Amino acid sequence: MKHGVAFRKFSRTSSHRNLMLRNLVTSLFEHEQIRTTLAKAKDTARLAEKIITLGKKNNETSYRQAQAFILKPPVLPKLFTTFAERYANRPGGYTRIHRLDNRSGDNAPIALLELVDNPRDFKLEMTARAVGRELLNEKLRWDSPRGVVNSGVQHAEIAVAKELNLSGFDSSELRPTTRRNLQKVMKYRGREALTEIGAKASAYIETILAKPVAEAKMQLQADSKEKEKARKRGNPNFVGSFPVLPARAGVASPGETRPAMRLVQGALGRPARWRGRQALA
Amino acid sequence: MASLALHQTRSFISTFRSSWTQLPVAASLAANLELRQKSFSWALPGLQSLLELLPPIVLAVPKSKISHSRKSMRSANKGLKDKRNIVNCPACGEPKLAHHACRACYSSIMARFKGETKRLATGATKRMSGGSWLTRKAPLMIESPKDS
Repeated sequence: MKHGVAFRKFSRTSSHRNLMLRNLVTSLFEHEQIRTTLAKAKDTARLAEKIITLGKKNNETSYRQAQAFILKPPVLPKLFTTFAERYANRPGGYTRIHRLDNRSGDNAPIALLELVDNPRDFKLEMTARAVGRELLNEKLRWDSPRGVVNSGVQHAEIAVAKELNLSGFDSSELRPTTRRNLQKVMKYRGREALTEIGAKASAYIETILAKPVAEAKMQLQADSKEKEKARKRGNPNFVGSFPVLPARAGVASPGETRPAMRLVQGALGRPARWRGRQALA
Repeated sequence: MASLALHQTRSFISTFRSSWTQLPVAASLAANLELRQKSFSWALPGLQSLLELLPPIVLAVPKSKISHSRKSMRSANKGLKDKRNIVNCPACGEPKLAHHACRACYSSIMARFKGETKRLATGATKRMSGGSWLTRKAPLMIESPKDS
C-alpha cells in the first residue's frame, strides 16, 4: 500500500535519489527548460519550487540552505536575483510541466519541465500560435481564402488586448481555452508581452498562409531529386511513386470545424446515409 | 535435467508440507531414508523414488491441444485498443493526443530556439566578419520550410 506517501523512490537508494533530484533542479535553474521523464519532472517541480521560495526569502539562512542544495555555484546568484524578481508577485506555481510523446526506446512518458515566464516559455509560444491561427480562422469565416492571403490579418495585438478582459462565456474571435491560456500567460507579465504575443501571432499567420506554397515547392524538390537519382542509376524514364513526401492524415486546414476524431477516421468516419444509424465511432 | 530436478524438489516440498497428515507413508519413508544414509552428501535423498509415490493428479498437465477456435476466443480481449483522445493541435492543425504537446509544434519551436542560441554563439565569436545575410539576425518567427 502507498496511502499518503508523498515521494517517489525511482528504484534508487536514498542518496542516489536525492543527488539525482538535486542535479535535475540545478539543471532546471541553469537551462530554465529541461526534458525528462514525467515522474522525475513531477518530483523535481516540487523541489524546485521550494528552492525558489528560498530565493525569494533572500536572507542569510535561506542563502545557506540553497547553497547546500544547488550543485553548481554559478546557478546560485541567478536564484536570488533573476528568479526572485521574476516571481516576486507570483504566489507559488513557478514551474510548469508539458506532457510530450512517449520515448521510442522504452515507451517512457516524457515531459518538458520549465520555469514559468522564462525567456523561452513554451506555453507562450503555443498560445501565440494558437491565437494567430484562430484569428485567421475568424477572418476566413467572412473572407475568401484568396482575399485573406492578399490582405493578411492585421491588428493582432489589438484583438489580443481585447481578449484579456473577457470571461469564459463571452463570444469573441478566440476559443474559450485559448482565451484562458492567454490570460494566464499574461497575468504576471507587463505590457511588452502583449506586443510580443501580437508579433508572434502575426508572424505565425504568415507562416500558415505560406505553408501550401512551401509544401508544393518541397514536393517538387523531392520529386526532382528522385528523378535525378534514377537518372544516375541509368533509368531515364523513371516514373516512381508519386507523391514522394508522405501524406499526413487527419490534418485540419485553417477554418476546419469538424472534430479531430472525425478527420482522423477519414472516409470511415462519414456518418451513414440513413438517419437511424449511428456514425462509426 | 537439473532444473527439472529442482522444480520437482520444490513441488515435492510444498506438497510434502501440505499433505503431511494425508500421506503418513511418505513421511515415514522420508524419515527412513534419512536414517539409512550414514555418509554425508549434498544431494537430497532418493527424490525420483518418492515422486513415484505421489498421485499423478498432483502433476498437472494439459490433456489435449487447445483448438484454434478456443485459442482465438481467449485472445479476443488481447487486441490493441484504439486511442480515442485524439484532437487537432490549435496551432498547426495536426492530430495530437489530448493533454499532450503537439509533436510538430514542439520540434519546430525547439529547433528555432537551438538556431537562435547557435546564431548568438557564432555571432559572438565572429562579430564583424562582413558575413552574408545568413549570419545576420533572421526575422522573428518565420519557420524554414523543412519545419513543416
